[in-house]
Amino acid sequence: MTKDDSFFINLGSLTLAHKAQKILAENSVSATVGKSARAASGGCSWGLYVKGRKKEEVTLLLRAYSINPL
Amino acid sequence: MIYMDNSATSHPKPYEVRRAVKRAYNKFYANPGRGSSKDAIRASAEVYSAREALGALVNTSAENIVFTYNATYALNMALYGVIKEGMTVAVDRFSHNSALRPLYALSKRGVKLRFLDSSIIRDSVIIDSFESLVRKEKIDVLVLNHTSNVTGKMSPVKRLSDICREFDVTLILDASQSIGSSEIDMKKLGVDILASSGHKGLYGVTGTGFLAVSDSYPSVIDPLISGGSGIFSLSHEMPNLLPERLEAGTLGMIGISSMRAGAEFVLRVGAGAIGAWERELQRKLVSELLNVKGVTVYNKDVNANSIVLFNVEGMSSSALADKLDKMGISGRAGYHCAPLAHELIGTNNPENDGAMRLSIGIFNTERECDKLVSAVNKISKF
Repeated sequence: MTKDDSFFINLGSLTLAHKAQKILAENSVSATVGKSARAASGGCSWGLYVKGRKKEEVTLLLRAYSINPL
Repeated sequence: MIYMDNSATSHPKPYEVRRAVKRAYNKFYANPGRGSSKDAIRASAEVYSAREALGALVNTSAENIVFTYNATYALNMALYGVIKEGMTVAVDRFSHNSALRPLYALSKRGVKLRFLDSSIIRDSVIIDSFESLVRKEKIDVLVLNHTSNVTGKMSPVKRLSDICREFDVTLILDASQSIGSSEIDMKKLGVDILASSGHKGLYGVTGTGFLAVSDSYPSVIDPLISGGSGIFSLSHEMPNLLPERLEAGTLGMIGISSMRAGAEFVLRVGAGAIGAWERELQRKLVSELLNVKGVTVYNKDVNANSIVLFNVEGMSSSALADKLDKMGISGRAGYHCAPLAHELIGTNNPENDGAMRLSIGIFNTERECDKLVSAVNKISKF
């Protein structure tokens, strides 16, 4: 999976990104831990690059596990 | 060599730990939590797995595991991060200097300290003392040593945490001597914050420790140090998210991998089973040393974990340690950085200058205990 054709779910923390990646894997969603650097959100932020799913669907799934994307 | 100084640091380490150290050196060379290259993500995934293993061991979420360099660092982090000017803190007398010294320093900044009465045998003494204290004045924090590094006695954590819940007291537990040989469930025990070393009952390399925050702890802990966290770099402050809020600077990758392997070893073997073996050898040593003329065992009546605390008549604990060392036995003499515990036991006198501590580990054997008793027998005859 390349980062170009996937969307980014911003979780802030790298630890949370790894946790979310494991949860998604258990739910058959493949995701890659990655970083986004944006001045508007305070600099570097960690999250997941996800492909082949709708962002809303993945966000909802994570919220079900009490992980709230930024 | 017979190594019985496992309360200072454990030796030998399980094979899994030695293998993990080699693997970390070869595989996790990139900085975990800075760059996002495959190398860096592989290292950070290992760090996360270590958090998961430690979280499973003490029953808290992986993100609530904060890596430190030792238990002292973890305790300082908890104490300075939670205790503020004007607060009142209760502390037990079995506490180690890693808790006592930061508390003495905090007392110079307007924090009030209250020392709880304790007994080396009876739990009721500390329970009654704490209960009567919280009914008299507002106590903000209780700092408790789970297992004494001097006597091996365990504190009645659950009974005390029930009082903490009733009177809204934050419970900070030093689990340095209990981790790996006692089942520790932060939720069941009612512990808010737990500090531990990683190189004792967790079998990690020296220079490792961690802080665990309960999932239900409602407050934000102020960072002890500030610096790079790998996230929100444009902000002037540390992030609010755990564990990054408290982990400034690059993590010790090899140490963290060693702790992961150690925690997984404990989860596989079982802390209860490890503790049971250590207690069995401890009881054997105590009962046999009591038959040696001139030997005083101070914790013979304590339901102790792994520790034998004794002296031989007519010599200081340091002289005894030197003699044992010459006979190939490693232990530790003196005051064990726990002055109040020695005060309670009565070993802070010029004749003994503390006491000799032997601390048993999972890899000690009955044969080693026999050799130890034989060595003390020889020493006591001179």
